[in-house]
Amino acid sequence: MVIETFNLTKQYDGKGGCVDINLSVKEGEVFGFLGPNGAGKSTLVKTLVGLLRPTGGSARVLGRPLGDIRAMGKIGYLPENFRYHDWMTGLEVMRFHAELYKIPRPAERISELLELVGLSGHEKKKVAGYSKGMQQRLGLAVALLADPALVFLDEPTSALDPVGRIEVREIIRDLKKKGKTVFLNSHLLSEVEMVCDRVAVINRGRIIACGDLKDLLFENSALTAKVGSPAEGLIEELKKIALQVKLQEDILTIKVAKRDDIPMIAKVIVQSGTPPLRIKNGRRFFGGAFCKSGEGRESY
Amino acid sequence: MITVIKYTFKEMFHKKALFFVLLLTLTYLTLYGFGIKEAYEALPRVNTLALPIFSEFITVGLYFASLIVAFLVVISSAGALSADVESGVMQAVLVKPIKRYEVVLGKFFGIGLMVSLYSLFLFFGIIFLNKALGARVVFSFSQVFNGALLFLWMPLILLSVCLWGSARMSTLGAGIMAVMLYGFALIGGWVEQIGYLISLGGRSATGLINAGIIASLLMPTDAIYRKMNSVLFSSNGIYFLRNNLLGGGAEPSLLMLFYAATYMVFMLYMAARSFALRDI
Ligand SMILES: Nc1ncnc2c1ncn2[C@@H]1O[C@H](COP(=O)(O)OP(=O)(O)OP(=O)(O)O)[C@@H](O)[C@H]1O
Ligand SMILES: [Mg+2]
Repeated sequence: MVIETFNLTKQYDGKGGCVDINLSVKEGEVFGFLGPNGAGKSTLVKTLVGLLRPTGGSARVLGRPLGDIRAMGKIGYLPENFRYHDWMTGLEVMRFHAELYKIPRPAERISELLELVGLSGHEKKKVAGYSKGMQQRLGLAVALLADPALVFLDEPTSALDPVGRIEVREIIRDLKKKGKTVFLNSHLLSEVEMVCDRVAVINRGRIIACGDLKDLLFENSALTAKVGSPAEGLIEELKKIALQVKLQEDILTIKVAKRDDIPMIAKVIVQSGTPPLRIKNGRRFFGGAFCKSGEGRESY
Repeated sequence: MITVIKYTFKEMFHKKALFFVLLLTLTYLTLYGFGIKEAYEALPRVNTLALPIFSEFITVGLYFASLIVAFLVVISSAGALSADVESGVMQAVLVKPIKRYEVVLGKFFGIGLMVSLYSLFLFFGIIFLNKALGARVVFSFSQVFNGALLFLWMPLILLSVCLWGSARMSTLGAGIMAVMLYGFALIGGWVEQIGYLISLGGRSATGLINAGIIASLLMPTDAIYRKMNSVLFSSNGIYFLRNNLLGGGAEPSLLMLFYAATYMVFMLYMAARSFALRDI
């Protein structure tokens, strides 16, 4: 396991942060860590890279205790509030961090990375004059400097334009191809689902779901059908196949056990003589959990 | 650690504050130069009368020079760790294969190197101005050498305190704490001298002297300053500065020097410890 946590807890004066986190991330996977604002994502990552001292539990990263120097040489980290010495140029920032990593002769690696994140041509400019997106690109290049085995990216696309977002996605896929492990923090399901193998969902400091993204998405998906007035016996018929059937006004919400049941459901509705006006595979993905707590209206 | 030292040293040149300190220094040296030139021309030719006055001017010159260096230390080190934490720069630095105490010591040596060079420049600037403008004092090599070492030791002590503050609190807090302690030391130094002068008059002033000693324990810079004076001016058994508020008085004991050294090392240790425990 590249990352293993055992009831890892980091709270600020007994409040906030993240609580009792139990995770294991395998080598070579892209792990998504999802949650609304203030859920505790950054707290966990900062604890894992040794910036915050845990208030409880324990963890191992790359087989070593938190903050261990030998592990840190193989870890890349893009902070959420990325900032680099603004009196340096982009190139100088890269050289400085290469020295901190003790990379011998980093020149080639540096220009390669600046090219990769689309900063070539800007490397001689002072970082103070960089736009937010350019700084985030620089941060990504710094995170990848040491050719790390494990990369933590805390909302790596928050300041990027749409093209930048696609580029970052490509970079993450490329890392995966090279066998690197990526831990990706995000509050956007759409971002995570395109690259991640497994995800954990955190809310109010606690993990509320963890597993294969496809299963999680499916576990929480329900079919909705606008049906006008349903024919006699339709609901009973549906209940035989579905886990749960609800009728509200003229909308049928049907939870299914497995994906393959979906065509079957549609068939039953049509055959019952109720013409469906619309059938939607409504993905709610923890919408319930988040809405109850009054946070995050997005598609979790 | 070498990397941190190197970049800390470089960073100093990018601080606007350094420019102001330089401006302040040049203004000061110019005014001081004009002042002593006038004064020395008006002095009697007889050495025994003029000597105490020369040493007085040198002492005063070094005293204000040490204030300028102290100012440089506070503005360049109160934020050395905290400002980087506050801006977020530290988040990217500390996730490298580097121990936190290395960052603290790197800052100490980086800033310390710069401050030492600056101190030496000021120290020899003052001595040179005096020599060039007619102060007929003769220093032996060892006097100047030891004097210079003591002069650059003062800001290093202050630096260790600033770093400790910067490691555990905000830049503002660290700055205020350092200035307050330094102020204590200055005032404590005067109070001790006043006590000493009173006691020369035959009356007891142990209260004042003890207050001064306590201030020196809180921040031993002023004691070092007096040691420097005695090293510079106590040649041939003559110590000219007995009756001076800034210099003279009882020469600090060897024990005080030992205390100052321990104090500095302890402050650095505390800085490293606080920083290791800090949430970034
Ligand atoms: N330095 C701090 N002091 C006190 N409380 C904090 C601190 N940092 C975070 N918190 C609290 O801890 C909780 C988790 O914060 P965290 O930054 O980890 O959330 P997040 O999931 O990264 O959110 P976002 O999506 O906004 O980045 C929040 O409730 C926040 O108020
Ligand atoms: Mg965050």
